[in-house]
Amino acid sequence: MAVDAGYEAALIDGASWWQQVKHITLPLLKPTVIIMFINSIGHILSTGSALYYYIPRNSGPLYDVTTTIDSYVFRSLVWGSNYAQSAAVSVFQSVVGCLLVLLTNTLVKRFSPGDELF
Amino acid sequence: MKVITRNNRLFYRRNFTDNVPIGVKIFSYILITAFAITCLMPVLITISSSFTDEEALAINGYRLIPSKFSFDAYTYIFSNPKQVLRGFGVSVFSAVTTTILGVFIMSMFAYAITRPSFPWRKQFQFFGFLPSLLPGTAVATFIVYSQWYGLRDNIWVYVLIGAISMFNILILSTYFRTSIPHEVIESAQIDGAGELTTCFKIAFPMALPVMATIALFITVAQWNDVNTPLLYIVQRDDLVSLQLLLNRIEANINFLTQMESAGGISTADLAQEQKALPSEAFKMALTVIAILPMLVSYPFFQQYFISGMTVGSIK
Repeated sequence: MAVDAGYEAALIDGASWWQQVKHITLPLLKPTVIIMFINSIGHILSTGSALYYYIPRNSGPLYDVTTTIDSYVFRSLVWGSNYAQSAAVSVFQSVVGCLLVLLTNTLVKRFSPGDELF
Repeated sequence: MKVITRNNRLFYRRNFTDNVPIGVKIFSYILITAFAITCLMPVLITISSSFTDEEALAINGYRLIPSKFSFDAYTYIFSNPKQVLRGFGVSVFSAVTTTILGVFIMSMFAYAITRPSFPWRKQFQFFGFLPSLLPGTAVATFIVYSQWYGLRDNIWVYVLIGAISMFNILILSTYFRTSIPHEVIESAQIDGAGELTTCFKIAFPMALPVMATIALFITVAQWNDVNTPLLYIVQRDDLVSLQLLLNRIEANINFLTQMESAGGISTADLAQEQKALPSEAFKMALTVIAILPMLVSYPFFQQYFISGMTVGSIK
């Protein structure tokens, strides 16, 4: 594989382990890290409703410290309080995610062209 | 470093892992051992708790080795197995159908994206990436699936939600782009093959490893999924998958204990109820049955998972 050829050349030139990591491994990982980063940053405000709803077992005194956006939306969909408010909170989550993805993609186009997602 | 002898001469084959400092080695070993223990311990404790007598479980708590060995939980399950078998059947149906449909559609999508003669492939790629990048609002998704598509209390809610995933399409399209030589497809087209023939008879047989990997990904994700039936299966009890059944049993117990602490039920009724309540060992046994197919099949398919992970590495 072409990757192994790079490591062999570095070993012939007498590179230490840390030098190999810094100059071969991390630069080769950069496109993958960028794609995974862009994929995940859209979900930055989303925690998933399972963990923050079931572990506190829906107990009242813990509402203040364990409620996240997804947990709040799930609870109001199940117990039927203000639907419009929970929809508005979801839209906020979505808009922030969209803006962050566009911003990150523009920054990647500026600083590391060729790696961006769109 | 590997020492190779060829023609009575010694060769040293040097590796990347030769000069790793000893501190990095120790740190890595400790980190990976800690992670392995964190993953293994809950599974082992669940399996051992399912083989424990119920009263011993209440007195002694969860142990790695059962304090008092008994098969009570399993005999209770298999004495009236109708609900568990129904849940098992629904889970198997959802996993198998989603896998077949998903692999078929996603492979065709990935093949079309990688053909340079397709004029709109960038638009299709963008269109496919957009929903996975942005978080779908929970309320809007729920309204679309349950009211517009009518998937509430419907068996197809398992299949249609889990079939397509852009991450899997990325893996498939990377494989199609890098591992299928352009010359093969061109020679097929010169010999007079149309697009469908090229796709199904040339490209798909060459891409069987990555399609098998994606099939395994989808199967595992569908088997373990509890969020989809939680939201969409409300009234029909015969469409409950195994994971949802486990979730409901646990929720019922919590609901009853909460009502007890709020003083809702009188103690005599509650004592009557508690004799019929499934206990901790029963929950553990049901969990073991729910994870058993995946646990058993992992060692056989592990090599495909590892090779599939390295396939989808770059864009």
